[in-house]
Amino acid sequence: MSGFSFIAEKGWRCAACDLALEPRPVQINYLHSVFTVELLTCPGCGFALVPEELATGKMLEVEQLLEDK
Amino acid sequence: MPMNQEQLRELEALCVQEEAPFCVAACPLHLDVRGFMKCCAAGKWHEARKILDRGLPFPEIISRFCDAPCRPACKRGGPLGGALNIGLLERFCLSQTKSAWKAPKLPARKGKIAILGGGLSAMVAAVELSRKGFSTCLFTARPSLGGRLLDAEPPPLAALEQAAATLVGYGLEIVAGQPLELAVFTEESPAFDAFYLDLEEFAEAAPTCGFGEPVALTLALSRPGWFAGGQAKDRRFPVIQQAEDGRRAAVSIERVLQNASLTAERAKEGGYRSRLYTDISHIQPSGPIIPANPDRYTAEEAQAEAQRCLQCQCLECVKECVFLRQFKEYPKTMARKIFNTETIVQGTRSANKMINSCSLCGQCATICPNRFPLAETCLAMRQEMVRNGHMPPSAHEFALDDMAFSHSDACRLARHQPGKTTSRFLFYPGCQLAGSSPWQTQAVYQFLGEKLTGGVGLMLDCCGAPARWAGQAELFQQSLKRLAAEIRALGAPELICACATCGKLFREFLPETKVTSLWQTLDELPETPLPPLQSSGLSRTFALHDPCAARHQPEMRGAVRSLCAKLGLTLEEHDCSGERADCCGYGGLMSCANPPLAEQAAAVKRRRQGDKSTHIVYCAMCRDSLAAHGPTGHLLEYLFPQNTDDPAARPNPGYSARHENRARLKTRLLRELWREDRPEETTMVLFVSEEIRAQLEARHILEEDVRRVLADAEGKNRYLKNEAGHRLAGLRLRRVTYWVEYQPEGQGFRIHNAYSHRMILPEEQQ
Amino acid sequence: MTDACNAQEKAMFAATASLCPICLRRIDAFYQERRGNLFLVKNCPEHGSFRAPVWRAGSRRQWSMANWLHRAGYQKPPKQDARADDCPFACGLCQEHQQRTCTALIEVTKRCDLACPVCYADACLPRQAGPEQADEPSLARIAFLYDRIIAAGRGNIQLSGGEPTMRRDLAEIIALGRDKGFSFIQLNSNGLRLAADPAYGRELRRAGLSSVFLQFDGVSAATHLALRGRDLRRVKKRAIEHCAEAGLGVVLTATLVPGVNTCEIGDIIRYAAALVPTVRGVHFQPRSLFGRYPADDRRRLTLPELLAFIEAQTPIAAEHLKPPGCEHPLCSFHGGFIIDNNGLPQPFPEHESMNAPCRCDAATATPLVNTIIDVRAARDRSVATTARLWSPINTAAAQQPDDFDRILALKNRQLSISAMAFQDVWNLDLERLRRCCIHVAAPDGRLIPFCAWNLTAQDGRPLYRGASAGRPI
Repeated sequence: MSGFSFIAEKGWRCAACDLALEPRPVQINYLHSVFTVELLTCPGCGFALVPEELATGKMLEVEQLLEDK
Repeated sequence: MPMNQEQLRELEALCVQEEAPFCVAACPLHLDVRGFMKCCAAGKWHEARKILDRGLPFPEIISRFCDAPCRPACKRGGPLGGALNIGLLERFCLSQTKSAWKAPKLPARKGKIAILGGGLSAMVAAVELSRKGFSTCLFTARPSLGGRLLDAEPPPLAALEQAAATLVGYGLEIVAGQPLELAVFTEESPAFDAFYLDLEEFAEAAPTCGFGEPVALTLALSRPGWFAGGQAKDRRFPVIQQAEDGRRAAVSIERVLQNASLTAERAKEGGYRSRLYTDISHIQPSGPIIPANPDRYTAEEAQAEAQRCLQCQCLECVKECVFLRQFKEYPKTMARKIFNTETIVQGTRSANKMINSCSLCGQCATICPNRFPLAETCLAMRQEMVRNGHMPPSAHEFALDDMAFSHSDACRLARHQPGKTTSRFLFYPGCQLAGSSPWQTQAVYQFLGEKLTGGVGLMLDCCGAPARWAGQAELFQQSLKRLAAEIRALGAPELICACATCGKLFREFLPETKVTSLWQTLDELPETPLPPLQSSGLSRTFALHDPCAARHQPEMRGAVRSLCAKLGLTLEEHDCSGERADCCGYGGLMSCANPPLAEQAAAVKRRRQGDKSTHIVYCAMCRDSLAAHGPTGHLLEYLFPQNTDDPAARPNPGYSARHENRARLKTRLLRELWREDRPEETTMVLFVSEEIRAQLEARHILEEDVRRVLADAEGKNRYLKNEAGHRLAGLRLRRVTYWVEYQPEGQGFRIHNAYSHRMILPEEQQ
Repeated sequence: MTDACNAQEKAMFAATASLCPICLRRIDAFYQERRGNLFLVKNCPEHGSFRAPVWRAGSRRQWSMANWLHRAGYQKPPKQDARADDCPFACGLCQEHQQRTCTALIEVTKRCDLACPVCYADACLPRQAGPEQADEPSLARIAFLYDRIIAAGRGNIQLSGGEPTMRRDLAEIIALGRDKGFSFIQLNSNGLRLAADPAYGRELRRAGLSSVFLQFDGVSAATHLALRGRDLRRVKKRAIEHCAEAGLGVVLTATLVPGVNTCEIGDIIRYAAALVPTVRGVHFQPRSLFGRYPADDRRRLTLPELLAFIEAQTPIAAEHLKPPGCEHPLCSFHGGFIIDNNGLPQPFPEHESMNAPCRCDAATATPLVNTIIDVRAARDRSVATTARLWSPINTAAAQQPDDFDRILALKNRQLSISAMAFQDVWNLDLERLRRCCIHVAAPDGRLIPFCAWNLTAQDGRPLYRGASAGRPI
């Protein structure tokens, strides 16, 4: 269950752990609401990437939706 | 709620856009003259006829005999050419069309009405009442309907016959040609519930009944259920007035039979003076179309005459304001929307963005004949939203963070003049001037220090306008308190404000403080540095833009113009300056909450004066906002030139530069003027292309924050990498997470991309 | 929980008051429970005993009256003083009334273009109208009524009748209400005129109408014929289409008569779900016995029985249908749902601790989206079906929707399901009446609770409606 296309993500690796990122469910919250979305995450240290397309796309839409409630 | 329904109604009433046009209000029957003219102007005679049929009882009769009380009210009258010839137009329309609309007869209702008399007022009362389902009977001694119309030359027989047929079609019973004894109708147990007495027919008889004179508002006589009208003794009684009386009596009778109030809400029956406002100052005169045949128009003549109609309405503020145009509202409807925003519709508040998009500049109130306080309304609602926790955080946060930075130790300064222990004056440049033109800020301060006696202190700070505009009343109060304390601590000097907004705020909220503007101070000095304009090759004419905050500060505006004259600048004034100045888009935090609208506002403000000349402003934010749309210089850059470059050619430095300049200015001033050194952090070197710089600006990402992200990532070795050697790091600062894609280059880092979001990731949820 | 339930049960079973169905005299009444079914029992010294079913939960303990009251947080109001003896004859509203006006009803006409046997408004066809029955409030009168409603503290407006669309000036009535500052104006309509004229809906919308409560009793011809006298299926469909084009929200309002359309409850919900977002809700009204119908227990449908039908005919679990916070718990239920891609209603996730005092928006079909949304919890509740139910949103990248997609999709996929049990003279409980928040603006400007307004004695004599207020003889 992915929320975005992985292909656009230019092969990022975690520099500290030198591991490839894997999709994992991550809990994100804003204004008392909690969402679980899949993000590319470092299996070693848990560093989760929020890609630009998501941040400026759906995530922004949901932020604004919640702010207007 | 900031106001209750009563107050909202009073507020709404200030906006006259929905008031009737002048002609419609003046017409005793309130015919939609404006709509009629619009149809005629387009040659839509059938549509025009519908309007006549809907608005007038017996249009053929009225259009012939009406003496057009609407014409004196027509705004096209007098110097603009002459009132529209409504009569000729109506008659033309009638000649071209058949009846286009007939009011339906409503189901029968309780109540029997007697109409005594056969003149026009009786006929109109009869048609209104019988159509509404009342059982109505008309009695006249004359052989047929029409009253004194029958004495006209020639008598309108066809129209009267048509009228009679219409009346019968609505169920009116007509008893004509038999002598009438009023006594028959006034006996104690009447066969009728209500009576209308046509005074045209009963001019003599009425006084003998002892019912007195009809009351003007209701036409009621002293006996309950009796009404009279249609004629008045000893004065000319126009035909249209008879029609009005008939309608008024019908309304009265209907109310009486329904047991409703006879008098409530009747002020707009009959002709009245409209509260509408229409600006005619720029209308060209246009004389009436004289028809070749004086009795009737041709189709072309009629259309041309109708095209002279101004289609009166107001919308004066909307014509000037991008905000009102964007949201397609005028103040009355906008106030209602604002007021209803607390009502949740399908789960969301409907008007947040709209409320946060107003620049609060007050231009609309200046233009409005009733001074509709739309800015105050928006601001009050923002304060309410903040109080209730409904203000969307993302609307104003960037600006409030900027204000917090100005208030921080990095930027704030409050000192007596170097070498002095008292201050008679305190120079207050404002946060944006310090950020946008730090060199001039310092030059002005040093200049004032030389030219004024008694000590000129310096305060680098933010007046708190962002907090006020964001509806953060508490935050604003705190800021004011602190400012007031610091001003007192410096000996309560007189403030010299370079920024019109700061000056306006201090005058309003710190009344104990003496405040003057930098412009008046400079203008009152015996001499000002006058750079040799000619030698620098700047000899164009200039357009001057007043900031919206100077709207009610005429002395400041005058001082600016005087200074410009001393500089030898030839200014071109324009329509929307001075009291009517536009906002550049920064005011009210418009550029924070609605950047595209702010872009439009800046473009409109600058465009007022075309593109032929260079533009001068004397507000730092106006300068930076307008610079994107053409060469714009700040007046101080001409009064205190840093070099020989054209001041107007300098682009908007942008958020990041303004941010950093403020801190650097404090450091430099401390070092150069007060001989104090502040440890300066070695600033991380960033390589940012123009394209990326513009992206950071548009996304409200400061280079300072980019540096923080990189410092954290590089320090903790916490970033992603890819094969191209790029790195990607993210860090939550304040309430936003910033992501930066970058690459080590030379002594610093090249920035490839940056974006942000507000949602909180798990590791940030401490 | 048991103690609390017991306390509430005891409170409920304490005496209340009602009216004698024959003479309309005020008499004492009390509730009795037999085998899980709740009855209102009362005795008139002159006309004998009466018993009416009010809440038939039967063996379904989870919907017992005690549990329901507990969920509603019900508390019996304090003892009334002597002036309460005027209730319900002194409505207007009197000082003892315990709830503000959430919805104000204005009957703009008695005329109607259908002649439904189930009509509570005793509306009649134009040609059968006698002069006294065709009395319509003028625009001036309606303006006065709006002002009375404003004086009473405002609320949503419902225009009713008869059939309001019979009035040619309906748009003016709506515009007048909007000008007076009413932000929600709704129309009760059979939809005939909306179906006949595509421009009509737009005209009403422009005038300021918010939504339409569309009479909609079922999906089969037989139902329409039985309840309305005509097969109106195509008419209703067209009316909804025209409302969609005009931007008007629609709430399907179904009168339920046992044995006639109770088998179509699920069909009605599915029909509505397919037409979201134009259709915003389904509102069920078990038929009340106004007018000239004899009391017949078998023809009554009480709310727990309706819950059972919903559970039997749809995947909806009745636990998602909740008691009201505004009116008396026995009067209604409501629930908010999101329609998934199979057209099935999924419960709307709400944080349990949110307890809005007034849920009248449920009746007006604008579901409140509470500020606390736990979409994850909702997903957890239906984990097994989630993956199957949602089809890919972005087929180009073969993406599966995530929580963001779900909340973004919320905006246009909401459906509310609600029901209201109106009282008639047999099951009238004055305590319920006193908590009523739907008030009719009588022509003289008084505000009368809905059930009191429509109440008639067994012989059809009205308590309030029409000229004579039925004081006991």
